[in-house]
Amino acid sequence: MTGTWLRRLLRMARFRVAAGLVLVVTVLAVVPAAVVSLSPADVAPTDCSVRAADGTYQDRLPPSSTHWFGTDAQGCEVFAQVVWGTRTSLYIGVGSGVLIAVLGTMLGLIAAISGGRVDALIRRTCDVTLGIPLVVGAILLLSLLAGEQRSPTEIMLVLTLLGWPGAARIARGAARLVLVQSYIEAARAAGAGNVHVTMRHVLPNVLSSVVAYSSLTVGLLIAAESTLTYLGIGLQVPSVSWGLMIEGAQRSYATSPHLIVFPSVMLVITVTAFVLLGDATRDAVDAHIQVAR
Amino acid sequence: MAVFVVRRMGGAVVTFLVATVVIFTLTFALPGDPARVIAGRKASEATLAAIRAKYHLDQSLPTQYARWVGRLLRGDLGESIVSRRAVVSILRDALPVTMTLMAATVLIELVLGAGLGVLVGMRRGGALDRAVVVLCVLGIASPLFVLASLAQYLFGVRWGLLPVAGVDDGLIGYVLPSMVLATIGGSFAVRLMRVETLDQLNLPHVRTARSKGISERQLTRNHVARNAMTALVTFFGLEIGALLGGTVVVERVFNLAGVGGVLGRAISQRDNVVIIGFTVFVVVVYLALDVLIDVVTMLLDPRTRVS
Repeated sequence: MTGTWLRRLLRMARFRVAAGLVLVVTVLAVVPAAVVSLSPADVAPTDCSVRAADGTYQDRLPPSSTHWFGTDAQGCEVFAQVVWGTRTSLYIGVGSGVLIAVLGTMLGLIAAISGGRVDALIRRTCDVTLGIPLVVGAILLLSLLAGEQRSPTEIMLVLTLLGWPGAARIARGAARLVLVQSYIEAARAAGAGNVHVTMRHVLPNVLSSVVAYSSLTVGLLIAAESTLTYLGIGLQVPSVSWGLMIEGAQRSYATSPHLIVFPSVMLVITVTAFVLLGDATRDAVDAHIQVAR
Repeated sequence: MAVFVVRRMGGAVVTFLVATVVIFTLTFALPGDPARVIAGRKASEATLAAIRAKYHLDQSLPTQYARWVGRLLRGDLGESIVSRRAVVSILRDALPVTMTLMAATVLIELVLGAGLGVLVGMRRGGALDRAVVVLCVLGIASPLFVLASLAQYLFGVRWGLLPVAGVDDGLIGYVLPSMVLATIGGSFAVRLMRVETLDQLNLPHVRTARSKGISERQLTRNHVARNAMTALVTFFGLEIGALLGGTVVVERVFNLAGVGGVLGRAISQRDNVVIIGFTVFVVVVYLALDVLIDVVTMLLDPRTRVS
């Protein structure tokens, strides 16, 4: 059963393009050193030198064969920063995406299976959390809870805290669709307990919907992180992040557009890849559910 | 009907109270002493004690919470730490800008959804349809601040077509910000209406109408677009909350003094009273809209009246 939507998915051109892009971005995030020789210490804007050894100024150089994406105001390689920035973005995006999927599935399943007061409580919590726009909620949490220095992990946890209700709603909805099926009744009549019904019948059916949702979410979370950083409430130097690069280049975008263009393009490509992946997966899952009905 | 409305409103009030407890608790999880924030670093113990008494900081947390909610209900959101102005009056000044921006944005999204969305849905698989589907993914995936900077650069710096900061020249100043703010929601609206249209075309009564030789225009207007609209109403209920979040980014880049712009400035000034006040306001607006949307949906589609 589960194999059908996977096979359908693998045949989709959209999925192949998106998966290819996600793969490239993942490789950059896991082994950036394979692409750029500089270590993160050299990448951090605080450690760069504006002058080269021969005394010439190296700041805001346009793209060339030696500096593919040019250099920034401190004389740092933009290419190296863009590559290392992938790691930060994916750490936060994929990290909170996975946590949201796990937490959301658990709470969604608990709500669907328990019903009654537990269900009402979880649903109400979802309503409250989703009632606050993600950016506004993150601003509130980060300005009240986190200190002056905000780490990628703190931002990941804040995004998780605000994001799980979306996944919980999906999981709850999918679980309720399964729970009314006659084979569940049959399984229960045959003496199956909650744990058996959940693990054997509900979870496999819920998982496909949650996976599709999570991939889309990873894209949107990466965008959210860079937005928060851009607003000055997210990451700070010496973290290397696309949001920071774009924010720092704001003042000189008329004279050195390359400082904005490269991190922006990378950011949009990465988010697009995850959104497209989620889209394709959801379409494959939906088509499968319709066939199964 | 009346029972339904009352019950939904009751639910919204409960949600609001829970949200206030959360926000209040977060405020008190704050590192640092609020009295010291008000009095400044060099204040003496006596001054601090006086401030604690004045702002009732010496009382128990539940008492303080009750007092805080009481003030909220009377429309008192406290005063800004930075400018000493009442948060409510700051909000009142900021609201017209944001409401104009959001009205323009919703209008663009509505035209995109009900127009383009239905159009490509009716012509599934064509060149336009395929182009729109790709553009929508890009629209959803492009962060607002990237689009805003790009629009500023192209329309303002490069071509000098439109104002890129402030609304001193009147409504023209809202053109770029609302276009940028509408990209994400507009893309979602187009996708939603496209799928809704496809679903409608598969329904038996639409197929019957088609087989009886109805014109495409009549089919679209009388059978498809009308029924697909319900989805758009529900969509805008959720969308307005997201738009309020988006205004923080867009108003910052385009230097507009609306709710989002003021909130953005409060963040950089660490003005927590303003941050909390504005967040509470956004939550209230969202909850009120949620109830309103449910009622409107019910009026539009009698089938949802069965609860």
